[in-house]
Amino acid sequence: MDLVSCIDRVLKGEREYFNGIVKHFQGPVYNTVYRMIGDKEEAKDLTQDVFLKVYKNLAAYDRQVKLSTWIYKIATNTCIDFLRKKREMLMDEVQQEGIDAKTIVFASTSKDTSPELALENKELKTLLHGQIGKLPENYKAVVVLKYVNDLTFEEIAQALDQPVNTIKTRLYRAREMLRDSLREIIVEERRDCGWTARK
Amino acid sequence: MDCQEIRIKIHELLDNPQGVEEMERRRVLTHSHSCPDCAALWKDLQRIEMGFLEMEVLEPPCDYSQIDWDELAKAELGSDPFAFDYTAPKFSTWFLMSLGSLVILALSLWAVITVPHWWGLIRDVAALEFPGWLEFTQILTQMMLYVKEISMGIVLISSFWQGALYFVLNNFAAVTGAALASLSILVYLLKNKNPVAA
Repeated sequence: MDLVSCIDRVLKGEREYFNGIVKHFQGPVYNTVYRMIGDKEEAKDLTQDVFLKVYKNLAAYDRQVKLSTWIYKIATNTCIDFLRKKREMLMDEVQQEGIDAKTIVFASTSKDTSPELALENKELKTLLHGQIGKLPENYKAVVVLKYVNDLTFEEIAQALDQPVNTIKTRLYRAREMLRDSLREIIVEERRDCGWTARK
Repeated sequence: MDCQEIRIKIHELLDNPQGVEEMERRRVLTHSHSCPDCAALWKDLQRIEMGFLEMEVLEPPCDYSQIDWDELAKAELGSDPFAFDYTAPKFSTWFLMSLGSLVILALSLWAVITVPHWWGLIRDVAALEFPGWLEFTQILTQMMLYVKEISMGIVLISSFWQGALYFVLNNFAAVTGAALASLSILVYLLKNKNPVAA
């Protein structure tokens, strides 16, 4: 049975058919959320939130849109909201405690793979994961939808409610931002190595 | 091509290598041979692209399909997520007034065209009982005649409309009755529509 038929069944009262949809999408959705958030524990809870939103809004699903695109749209929006709320919360704390905002935001977005850990690992994919976490939310969403969910530019545009050209521009900028940050890490690593050797 | 154009072409090449023409591809490569910055960019972006494609795919930490989503949604919403209260559309006052005026106008028209003697009878009785109204009834009669003339003019515009209008006018009571009954049924159905979910 195809997934859209599952939706019809759920809407007719056979609620257990929703589990088929969940089973099919839980891997991609978890990976999307994890790449967006950068923290496994938070990704676990947020994935549940995403599927709960999907379930509650099932009656509003527009058949013109691909089911996967619709689900990833909910997933990315949930992550963007989560990150914004988290940032606002942290900014409030910063204002209260008078700590440097950049330090806090940086620490919060790289909980799993801090730059230090990434430098120890040296593997590009680990470095990349850490750096993707530091991209602005809108850029991160494009990168995740393209490389984790394998969506086309048109599908990403549909999921993020943006024109295709905006999506392309964001991807280009995201790549170059990643390149710059990776280069910085490598330069720092070399400098540190040189400093240790001289010492 | 300058470096900025080459940058864009490099990204296009990464996104869709087949979508970039062979000549453009050669230009990028030729330029990259002579420009160390673009050559470095091309190499770095290729590495990043490879890194993206080789990103680890994680297994979900639990089987989300074992969750009772219906219970969870009900607990959060406090009601069935697929049940919703349907309220019949509210018509605005101006719409109801316009509809009422149209019905009254149509009834008047029907009365003037099909049973003119009724109006004559009312007018004569009114003139006898209230002599002061005579002038008023004359004006009203004149207005009704104008309305009749206009409606007859409309009737004669085309043979199709003529037939249709004659049918409506000759069967006015039946048509009005059917229209009102249909409207009542529609309003009743809209007000008593059941929720979508079983």
